[in-house]
Amino acid sequence: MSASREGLLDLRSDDRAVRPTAVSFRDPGGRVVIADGHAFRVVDPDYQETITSFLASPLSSELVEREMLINTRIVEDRELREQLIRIAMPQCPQALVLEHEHISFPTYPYEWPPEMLYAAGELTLDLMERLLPENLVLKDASPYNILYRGPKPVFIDLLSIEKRAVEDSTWLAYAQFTRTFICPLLADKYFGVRLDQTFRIYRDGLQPEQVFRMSGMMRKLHPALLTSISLPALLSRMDPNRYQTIYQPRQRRSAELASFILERQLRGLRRKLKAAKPAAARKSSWADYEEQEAQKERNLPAKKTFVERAIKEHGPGRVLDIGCNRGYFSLLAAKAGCSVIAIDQDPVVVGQLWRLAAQEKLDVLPLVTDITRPTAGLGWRNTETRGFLDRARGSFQCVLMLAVIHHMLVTERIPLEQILQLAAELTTDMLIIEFVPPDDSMFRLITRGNDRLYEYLNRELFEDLSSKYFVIERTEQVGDSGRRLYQMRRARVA
Amino acid sequence: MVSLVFLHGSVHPGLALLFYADPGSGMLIWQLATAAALGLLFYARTFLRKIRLLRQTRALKQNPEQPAAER
Repeated sequence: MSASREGLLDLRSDDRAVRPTAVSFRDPGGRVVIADGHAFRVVDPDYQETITSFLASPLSSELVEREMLINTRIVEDRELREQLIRIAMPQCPQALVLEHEHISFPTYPYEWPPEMLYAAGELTLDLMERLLPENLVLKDASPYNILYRGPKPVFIDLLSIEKRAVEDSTWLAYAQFTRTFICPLLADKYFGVRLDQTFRIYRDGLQPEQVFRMSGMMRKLHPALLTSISLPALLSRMDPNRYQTIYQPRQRRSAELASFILERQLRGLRRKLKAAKPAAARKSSWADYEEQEAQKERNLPAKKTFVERAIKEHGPGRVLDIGCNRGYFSLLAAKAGCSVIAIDQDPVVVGQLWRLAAQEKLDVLPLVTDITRPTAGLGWRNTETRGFLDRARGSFQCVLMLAVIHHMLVTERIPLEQILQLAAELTTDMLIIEFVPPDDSMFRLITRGNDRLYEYLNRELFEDLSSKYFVIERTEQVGDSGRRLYQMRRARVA
Repeated sequence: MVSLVFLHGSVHPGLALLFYADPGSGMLIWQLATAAALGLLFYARTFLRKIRLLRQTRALKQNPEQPAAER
């Protein structure tokens, strides 16, 4: 396969059969087909004119260049087009087929920390502000229209862009934007309702009424909640039969008036979003963990050297950092040229890592994920979104498991062999893992007096179990602690 | 106009605030209410601009030779 000038791959293969792994269905305007590491969109003929004229416009090129919009081309290959139309839209043989730049590790709002949802909301409003002067509008405003490329959000749902009637002052997606961006952020900020809790249950975010019920009397009058939550919640209790006309389209007397209203409403939404912005200095039980460990750990430089050497020997590639905490080693790998997915169960530390990665423009995508309880496929028939392990298996050349396996062993009671087995499934090549012995102070802290349950655990057992899946290339003791670092390669099955 | 209907409804003795909340309609009503308020703002601004322009035109007619800074 070769890279085209646009950075998209040309599918050249003797085997021309398209093998779809996923086909979307919700959008009446088109279907997305994921096949063989490519992302195609088959577009209904009714929407073709808008899409093709937008793709040909200078605005489209500008948005792609600014990395706000996914890079897209029209598929000309007749055979490929026909196959994709047969798969996705057999009733429309004249459908338009597009290929989007494929984002290899899709992520979903329930895996994002609040900072990333906020950034996705800002991107949506930025895009709307760029589209309005061109008489275009987003017909929906959902975080599922956005994926992350490293720490940067990019808008992927081209079919959301449609022409607007110039005298229409109503943005139909206004309520959806509030439900899917502002309400979840407010619920997280003021009531501690985590985004993963919200989006795993409610695909379309939270209604103002739901957040209203969480609020006490004083909180209902809080400026951040008054116009986003309280007033809409109260208005929704009015007799809907009286106001059926609210769902009718509205035409203003002039295009200038309609634009004035829309621009000011967008500004209002931006203020509301800003009021829901997560605070930079949030606290959690894990936020100070790395710092405390670093203070205790005089051995951090030696650990850093070990990991740096391993990554340098291996070369840049895709790295998964499990239990990343504030991402010290994720950032290290990214600075060495790796593309990093960093996961941790704590949204506060993941949010802090995202801020750093975005600031320093490093290729780190941090996600709120508990490796011992990863997300499963969700949506209709559990196929609309893919589970974390499904996306992660075999996707990384290197996996880091530093200062994490003792938490998995003790807190989650995962057997050691199964931890190593999972590591072997996730990496295609290298594993850098830290063995923490039962007499380690942190280990003893988390066993809460049940030390005897882990008397069996020792270095020899660890190495013996590892050898079923890996070849140990190098090992070093971490300073004067009992901990050991291992650089392992996946054993090749004959 | 929806905002006027709402105001009227808020003082009407027969107003029924139901326990049933129609999800989504509240946000749309709020959106339309703000649009109505913004519409009034737009017309007020346009009206004030016209008044300002009229005053400038009259001042120009009365003192055609006076430099603009001194008017």
